[in-house]
Amino acid sequence: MGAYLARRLATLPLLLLGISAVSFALLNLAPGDPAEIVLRQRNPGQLPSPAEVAVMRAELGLDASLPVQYARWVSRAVVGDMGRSYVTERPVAAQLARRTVPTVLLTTATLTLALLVAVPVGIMSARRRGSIVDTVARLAALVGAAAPSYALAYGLIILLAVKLSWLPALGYGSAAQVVLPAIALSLAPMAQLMRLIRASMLETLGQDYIRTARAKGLSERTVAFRHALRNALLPAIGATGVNLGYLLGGAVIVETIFTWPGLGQLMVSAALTRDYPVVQGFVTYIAVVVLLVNLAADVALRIADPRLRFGRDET
Amino acid sequence: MRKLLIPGIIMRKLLIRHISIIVPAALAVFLALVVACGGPSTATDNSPPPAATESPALPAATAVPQQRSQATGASEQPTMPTTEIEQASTVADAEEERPTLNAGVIWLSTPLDPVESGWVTSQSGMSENLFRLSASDLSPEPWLATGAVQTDPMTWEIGLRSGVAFHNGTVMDAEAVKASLERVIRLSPASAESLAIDGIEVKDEQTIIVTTVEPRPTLPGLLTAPATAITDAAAADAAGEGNFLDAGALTGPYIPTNYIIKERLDSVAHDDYWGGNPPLAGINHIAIPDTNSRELALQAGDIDFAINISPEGIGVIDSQPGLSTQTAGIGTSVVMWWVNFERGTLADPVVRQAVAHAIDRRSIADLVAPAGTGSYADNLLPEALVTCPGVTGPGFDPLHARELLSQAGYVDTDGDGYVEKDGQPLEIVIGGYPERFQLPIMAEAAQAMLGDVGIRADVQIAEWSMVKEPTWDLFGWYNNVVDAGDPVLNVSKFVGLKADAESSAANNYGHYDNSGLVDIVAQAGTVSDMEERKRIACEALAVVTEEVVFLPVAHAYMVYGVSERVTGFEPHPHRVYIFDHRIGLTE
Repeated sequence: MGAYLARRLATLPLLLLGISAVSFALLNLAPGDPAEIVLRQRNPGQLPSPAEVAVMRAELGLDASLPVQYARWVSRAVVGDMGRSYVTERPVAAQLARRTVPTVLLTTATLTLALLVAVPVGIMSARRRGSIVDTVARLAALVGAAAPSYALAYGLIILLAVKLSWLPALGYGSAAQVVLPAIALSLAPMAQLMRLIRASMLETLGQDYIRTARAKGLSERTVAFRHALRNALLPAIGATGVNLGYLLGGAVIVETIFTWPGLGQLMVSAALTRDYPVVQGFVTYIAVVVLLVNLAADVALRIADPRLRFGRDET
Repeated sequence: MRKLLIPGIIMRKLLIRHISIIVPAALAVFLALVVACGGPSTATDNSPPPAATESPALPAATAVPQQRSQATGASEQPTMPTTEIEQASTVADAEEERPTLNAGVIWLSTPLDPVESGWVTSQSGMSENLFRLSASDLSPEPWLATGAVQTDPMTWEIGLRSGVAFHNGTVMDAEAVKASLERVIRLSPASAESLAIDGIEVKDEQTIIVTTVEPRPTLPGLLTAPATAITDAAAADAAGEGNFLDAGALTGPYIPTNYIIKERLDSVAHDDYWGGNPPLAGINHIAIPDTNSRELALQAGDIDFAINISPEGIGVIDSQPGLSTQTAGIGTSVVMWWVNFERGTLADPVVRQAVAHAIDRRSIADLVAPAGTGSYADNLLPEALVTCPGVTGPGFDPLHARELLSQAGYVDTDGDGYVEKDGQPLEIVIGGYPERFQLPIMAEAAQAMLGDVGIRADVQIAEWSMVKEPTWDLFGWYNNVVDAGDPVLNVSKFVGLKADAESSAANNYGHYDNSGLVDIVAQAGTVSDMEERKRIACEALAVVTEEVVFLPVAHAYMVYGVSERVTGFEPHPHRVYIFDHRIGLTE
C-alpha cells in the first residue's frame, strides 16, 4: 500500500502541471484582451486608449510570451500565490479559500445525506426484490435522478420554509441553513448510489459463495450483512468519489437559489468577467481536488477489497 | 506487510460494519462544526420591540430654485469592487432593546466608498447628499443642504444644515463639505466632468460658494448623484483604499459594520443622526439576486423586507397574512432593449424598423409590468419627468415588418419559415441579465414575435457586463432614467453624450452615432427653465425614437415586499432612496 501510495502521489505534480498548462493556454486563446477588460471594468462605459491598454498589459505581465507568463505563474503557484483577481484585485488564493469552506460544508452534508439514505434503501430494495418496497424505492430513485435541482430547491423552500416554517429559506452560517441546499443537491447522487448499491447487492447475492453461506445454514440477515454487503459496497465507494469531486467544484444553481457563498458562483462570475487569474486558480483547485479524491477513493477500495492489494502491488 | 495489513483490516471492518454509525456521526460532527463556526445568519431578530417613541420627521427644507442644466450622471450599474470584503475594526455593541431589520436586496456589488458609485450606501441609508430628489415630483430638494441660490450663471451659494455629524463623530461644516466635494472631483472623473466645479469657497461655517467652469443651471440636481455623497474626506483618505468602512466617513442614519461584497452589508443605528435616533438597532442587507428566492425568503420570514417584487410575487405576497407589497406608483426606471448599431444586421435602418414593428412592446409591458407595477413605455423617459406629445415609437405591425424585411432583401426562399438574404438567414441575438426578472421574460417573448415574421432570434441571458461585448443585437436593460430630475440629462446620457454635448463615451452601449444630437442637446447648456429643458429633451427623444436607438418596453415601479412588522416605511419612487431613519420593526 505504501509503494502504491508513493507512486500515485509522485504522478500528481506532473498531472497538475499538465492540466494547468492546458488551461493556461486555453484561457489565453479565448477572445478578448484582459488588459482592456480590466480597464473597462474600472471605468465602465469608457473605451480605453491603446496606450492605456499597453500600460495595463505591462502591469499585468501580459506583455511577456505565453511560456514566460506560465513559468511565472507556476513559480508563484507552488508557494501558494495564485496571483490577484483582475476584478477585485484581491489574492486569488484568499478568494478560493473563503469560498471553499462553504462548499466543503455543503458537499459533506450532501454526500452524508445521500449515503445515509442510499445505503440502507439500496440494501433493502435488493433483499426484497420485486416487493412494494423495492418498487417504491426504484420509482423514487428515478424521480430523484430526473428532477432538476432548481425545481427541487424551490419546492423544498416552499414546503419546508414557507408552508411549514421548519427551516430557513436561504442563507449561510447556521446548521439549519445547510439542510435545504443539502437535500436539493443530494437527491441526484442519492438516487444514483441507491440504484448502484441495489444492483451490486443483487449481483453479489447471486454469487456462489453466498449460496455456500446459505447452505451452511446462516440466516439471511447474516448472509446479507456479513458476506454480501462488503462486496456490494465496492462500486458505491468509487461512485462516492466521483460525486465528491463533482460537488467540491461548486453547485451554481443551488448556490444561487439559496444564496450559498460557494465556489460555483465565484467561478461563473470570474468566467463571465474574463477574470483569468481566478479561473486559472479555480481550474488548478479542481484538478487538485479531483486527483486527491480519486486517490482517496482508490485507497478506500484497496482497503475494502483485499483482491486489489494482494492481486497486484503487495504480492 | 503484516503491519500494513492489520490496520487495513480494522479500517475495512469499521467502514463496512459500522457505516450506519459512522455516517450519522460524521453528519453530526460537521453540523456541529457549522454551528460552532457561527458566522452571519439571516435569522430574524427576536429582540424586544423598540421603545414607543417616534423619530422626528426630516426638518422642513428650503425650496431649491428651479435652475437646471445638463450633465452626465453616474451610472447606476454595478462597477466592480476594488476589495471584496470590508469589515469594521470595531463593531458597535449589540443592541438589545431595538430590533434589527433583515432586508433582501438584489446586489451588493459596488464598493462602500461613494465616490466609486454610491448606490449601495445611499440605498441602505448610510450616505446622504446635499440634495435629494423629491418623492412628489422628482425635483431636487435640500437634504444636507438647506438651500441653494444661483448668484450668477457660474456661481452657486449653498447653505448647509447644522447639527450634522459623520459616523466618526466629526461635525459636518462648510470646510468638511468643501473637502468632500474636492475629493469627489479628485477621485471620480465622471463626477468631476458632470459637476464642472472650478472652485469651492467657504463663506462661513454653514455656507459654501461653488463656482463652475461653465454654466451649470442644474447643479443641485447633479449633486443628488449618489457618487457625490458627503463624506469625511480626511478620514476616508486616512483609512486608505479598501478600508473605507473603518473611516466612519458617512452621515446617514445607519453605520456600516460589515460588508462582504455580493453577500451582505450589516449596519447599526447612528444615534447622533441629525434627523433623530432610528428606531432600529440596525439593518442587515442580504444580497439575494434571484427574485424567486428573495420573495420566498420574505414569505418564510427569513427577511422582513424585499425589494423588486415580481408581478407574480405581488399576488402571492399580498395574499399571505402578515405581508404586503408597497410602491410609490411612479415609474423611474426604464425596461428596454439597447439596439446595436455596430453589429451588422441592425445597422440597416430598414431592418431595425422591421424588428421594432415585429415586437409587440405593449403586450410585453403587460407581462413584465402589469398594472400596479409599472406602465407601458412608448418613450425612454417616464411621464413623471417629461411628456412628449407626438413622439411615439414604432407600433406593433407584423405585416409591415414583413414588408420592410422584404424591402431590405430578406425573403423566405427555402420555405423554412425564416427569411434569408443571399443565402444567409437573418439571425439576431437578444441579450440580457437575469437579476432583473423582466429581462429574460422580455427576451423570450420577443424571440417568439420575431420568429413570427421570419427572424430567427437567439436568447443569451448572462451577466450585465455582456452589454460591453460585441455579441448581441438587442440587449435587455433596466436603468434609472430620472438622474438629477432632469430630462435632458437622462436622454443625453443614454445616447452617450457628456455634459458638454461634444464628447461621447459613457453608456452608449448601442454605439449609436450621436453626432446628430449634439446641437439639440447643446441648446440646454445655459437653460434653467424646466419647460424649455423638457422641450429640448422631447426634440432629442424624437430623433432617437425615429432612428430606433432603443426599444423601450415599460417604466417600472419599485415594488417592495414588506412584513407587517415593518413600521414607518414610505416608498420613494426612486430606488436610490429606500431606508431612512423612520423605518422600524415591531414584534
